Parts: sequence; C-alpha cells; structure tokens
Amino acid sequence: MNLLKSFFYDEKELLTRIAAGEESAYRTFFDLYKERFYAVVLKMTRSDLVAEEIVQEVFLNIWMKREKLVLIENPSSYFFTAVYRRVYSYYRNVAREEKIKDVLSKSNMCENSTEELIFARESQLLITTAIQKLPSQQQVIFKLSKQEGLSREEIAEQLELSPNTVRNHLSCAVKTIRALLRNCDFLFVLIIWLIKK
Amino acid sequence: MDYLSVFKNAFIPIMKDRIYYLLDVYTAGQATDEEISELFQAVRDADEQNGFKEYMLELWERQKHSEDFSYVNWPEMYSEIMQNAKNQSQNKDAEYAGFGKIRSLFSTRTAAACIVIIALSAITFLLNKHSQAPALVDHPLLKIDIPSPVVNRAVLTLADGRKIQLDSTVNGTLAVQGSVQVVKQSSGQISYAGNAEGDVSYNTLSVPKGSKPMSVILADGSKVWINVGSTLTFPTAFVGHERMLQMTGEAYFEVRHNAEMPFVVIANEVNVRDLGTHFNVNSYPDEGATKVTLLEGSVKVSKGALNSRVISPGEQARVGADLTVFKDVEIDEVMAWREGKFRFGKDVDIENIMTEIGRWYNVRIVYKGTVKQHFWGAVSREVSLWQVLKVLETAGGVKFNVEGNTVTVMPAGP
Repeated sequence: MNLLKSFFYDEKELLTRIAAGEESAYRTFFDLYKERFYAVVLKMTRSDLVAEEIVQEVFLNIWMKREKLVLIENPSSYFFTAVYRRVYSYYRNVAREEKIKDVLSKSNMCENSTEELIFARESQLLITTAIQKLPSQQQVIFKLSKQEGLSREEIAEQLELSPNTVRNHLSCAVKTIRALLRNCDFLFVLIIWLIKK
Repeated sequence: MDYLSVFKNAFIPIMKDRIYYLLDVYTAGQATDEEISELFQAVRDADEQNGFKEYMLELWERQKHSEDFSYVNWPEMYSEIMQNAKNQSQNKDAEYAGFGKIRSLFSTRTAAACIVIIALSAITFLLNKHSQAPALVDHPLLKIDIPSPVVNRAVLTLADGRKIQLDSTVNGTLAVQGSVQVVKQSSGQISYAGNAEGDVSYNTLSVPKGSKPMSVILADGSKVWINVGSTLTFPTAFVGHERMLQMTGEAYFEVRHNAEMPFVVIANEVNVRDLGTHFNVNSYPDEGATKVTLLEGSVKVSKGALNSRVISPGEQARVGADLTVFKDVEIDEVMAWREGKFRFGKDVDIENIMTEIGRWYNVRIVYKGTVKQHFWGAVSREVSLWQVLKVLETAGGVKFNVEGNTVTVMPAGP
C-alpha cells in the first residue's frame, strides 16, 4: 500500500494550465469542485438527476470557455456565478413549466393567448416523440415515474428491480431525451419536466 | 390580462425574508402547494429575484464537505463532459466550414422563442456582471469556510507602550521616537530610519495567527519578514557592539553586514550570530526544535552550554536538547511561507501540515483516529481553508470536518 500521497495546488496556476488546454489540470479541477457544485445544486433543486445535469453543464461550459480562466480575479465568485446562473435558469424554467401546465389545463378556454397555447402544445409533442424513441424498459420506467407519478422505490418494487437500477434507467432516459432535443437552450424547459420529481 | 395583478407584482416586490423562507421550506421538501406556487410566481415575475442569489451564495459559502456523494458516477460524468466538448467543437468546426446543421426539428416559432430566451439570459448575465457578490461575512454559518488572510493584523508596540494596529493606519509616518522615524510604506512594509540618541529603545512587532505575514526594514537597512503567530523585538536604532534582536515563532532575515557590530538573533534561548547573511529561524513552540536555516553567508548558532556551530548555505541547525546540523535541506520547503505557499516534503506527516494550516487560518486542529498517510506537495496560501482541505482530501487517505473554528482530521478509506 502506498502511504505517500502527493498534492499540488495553486489555483491561479491550475486555471492557467486549464486555459492552455491541459486536460489533466482540468481533471484535477473537476475533482476539486464537483462535490461543492453538486451539493449546492442538489440542495436547491431537490433532485439528484437535475443536479447531475446542471453540474455537468457547468463543467462543460467552463471547459468550453477555458481561455477565459486566466482573466478571473476571484475564482470562487466566478464559479459560484456559473452555478448560480444555471440554477436560477432552472427555477425560471420550472416556473415557466408550471405556467404551461396551467395553460394546458385551461386550453379549452380562450383566455390564453394563442402563442402560449402553441408553445405548450409543441412542447408536449416534442416530449412525446422523444419518449417513444427510448428503449422499452426505459420507456416503461419513465412512464411509471412521470405519468403515474410513482416513486423510485415503488417502481423498483413493481418491476422487481433495485431502486438503484431504476435510478440508472431514469438517468439514461433523461440523457437520451436530452440528446434528442439537444440543439436549443429553450428545450431545457422540457428536460425539467422530464426529470423533476 | 389582469392589469391590477401586473401592477401589484411590479410595485410590491416580494420581500427578501419571504424568499428566504420559501426557499428554506422548498429545499427542505416541506413547502405546501401554495408556498411552491408563491415561490415560482415570484421567480416568474422578476428578472432577478431579490434574495435568491444571496440565499444560494450562503449555501455555497457554508457548504460542508462531509456529505457522501459517492453514488454519483463521477468518472462517467467526466467522460461525458469531455465527449460533449469534443462534439461541440466539431460542430463549431463544421459550421465554420459551411456545413452547419439544419435544425429541422424546430419550427420558426421555436427558433424565435430561443432568440428571446437567449437575449434574456444575455441581459441577466450583463446585470450579474455588474452586481458584486454581497458581503455576508457576519452570518454565523459562513465561518465554516475561512478565506485566506487578506489583511495585516500586525500590532506594533512602541517603546512607551503605545500599540499601533498596522492595518488601520494610513501610510506615512507612524511615530517619531527620539530622532527615529517609523514609516509605513504603501507596500504595507514598515521601516525605521534615524540615529540613536542615548539609551536603546525597543519596539515589538506581533503578527497574530490569521494575519498576513509582515516585513520590516530595520534602522541598519537589514530586512526581516515575520511569519504569522510570531513576534520580533528590536532596537529602534542600533548602538553599542551588537545588534541584538529577540523573536518567537518564525522569521527570515536579510542582514546588512557590519563586522564592527554583529547581528544577533535570540529565539527560544538559541543564539544566531550573523557573519553577513540570509537566514530563516523557526522557533514555533509546537514544532519542537528551533531550526535555523542558512540561505547565504554564514551564521554561528549556539545555545547555553552547548558547543556552538558555524553553518554554511543549505544547512540547517536544529537546536533542542542538543544541537545538530543537517546538510542539504530543502530550502524551497523552509522558505515556502515567504513564497505564499504551503510546501511539504516526503518525510512530513499530516500533523506538520495541519499545524501550519491551523496557524495560517487561525483554526484549532483536532484528530479523530490516526491518519497513516503521508503527504507531499504544495498549495498556494491564497486559497480558502476549504480549498486546501479539499486538495488534501483529493490526494486521498484523509477527511476533514469543519465546525466553527475547529477542523477535525479523520482517516478516510482507500
């Protein structure tokens, strides 16, 4: 057993190395920050799957814009802002989604603007199409979770799977749908509907 | 459209306290349906919800690192990030090359909605850029992460007993003692100039734990850097046959040589007599022996009845019950504090590391279980306590918990 562990960390140096495209430096950064990001997002969103999505997005974004890292004066506040913006936009999207639900439930009345109605119907159509493309077991679990509103434990019991397997299937389903609906930020609103508890 | 409700929302913004309350119950999973819809109504109605960012910043600052997130498949997440990054850059390249993808999935209306949302987030981003993160230092929970020391808390005690807090003074002349002037320079360093009249008078510079280190230029032009948790007592001007100074803790000296008037540092009964030189003295009581490390020139080290030794550059004298000289010490390690780093070599155990961390962030260190792991490496002293601990945790074999001003050190599984 190796009892000697090494650590090297100079934040500025690390960020400079990431900015220069050094992937091992980025990996170190990922390991240093992942739990901090995740803990905050998990607390705010109350969903492990949403939290994973958001954390992944934040890290992807940091890597894609790595050249900027050399300009940061206060790294902690920079990374906080990155996480904050994603979480806030999640809340905005949930808020919008609540509204869509509202619109859908009242869609036979003509108070709501046509625009909102079309937006809501398009959203639903896109989701339905995407769900149909899932592998069958994922589809079943997904429908039980979202349409029947069952908890993971209940699904696990019903299908005689472990709750962890259910979690993994849900996570895969979300990723698949996400990949299908990748190209626009705006579709995040749909993703939320998919993964929200 | 109900115009009254628009006015209501525009002119009576939801109170910050209320947002805090709603977020508290929501994140705890205890919100009622009414509270949930109130929260999201508030989020929907404002461009930037008052209190939301502050609430999250508190979570961010007080975040503990003892939660177990091992159920997340981190390696998979990492490889997905890298895969997505690759895809994104390829897409970008393809678009540059004129092969942009046709997004047939989306109607023009959707595309228009996209543009609006992107514009909105751009505006939010611009607003964010101008709003500074609010100071929340007085929140009791925030003390869990401790930033690197940013101010000098050093105190200068003059010959007449007056004490001067160096961080709160302006630059310029701090005091005139006899014909000696004490000046605080813009760099924060203080310097002494003038000639002695009559008796020697002494000043003491104390740098507490949790302060930044401090440097001083003595009346003879010698320069001393004083580490945290240390004091230096020195004459305001030098007279007689010797330049005699007394210290506790750790300090580094660059001495202006004067064969007529040797420079003598006394630390914990150890005498360091300079023969023109740069040297570091570490005499923290919690580190056992007093260590004198020579960078340039030569010094004579002695203590009471022990045989004195003259050491050469690269050598270190360790003086406890006896006096031993070590050759080829790692100067980088000894002098890391001057470079703004924590640096530890391969024979260092966790206690040594934690002692220095405790001193720098002014925290108490307690141990729960035995950490067998040894560590070596370097970390900047400019980062927060949490970041340093995280680096060590990431290296492996050790875990930390921070409560108030106490850091608990525990062994971690492999």
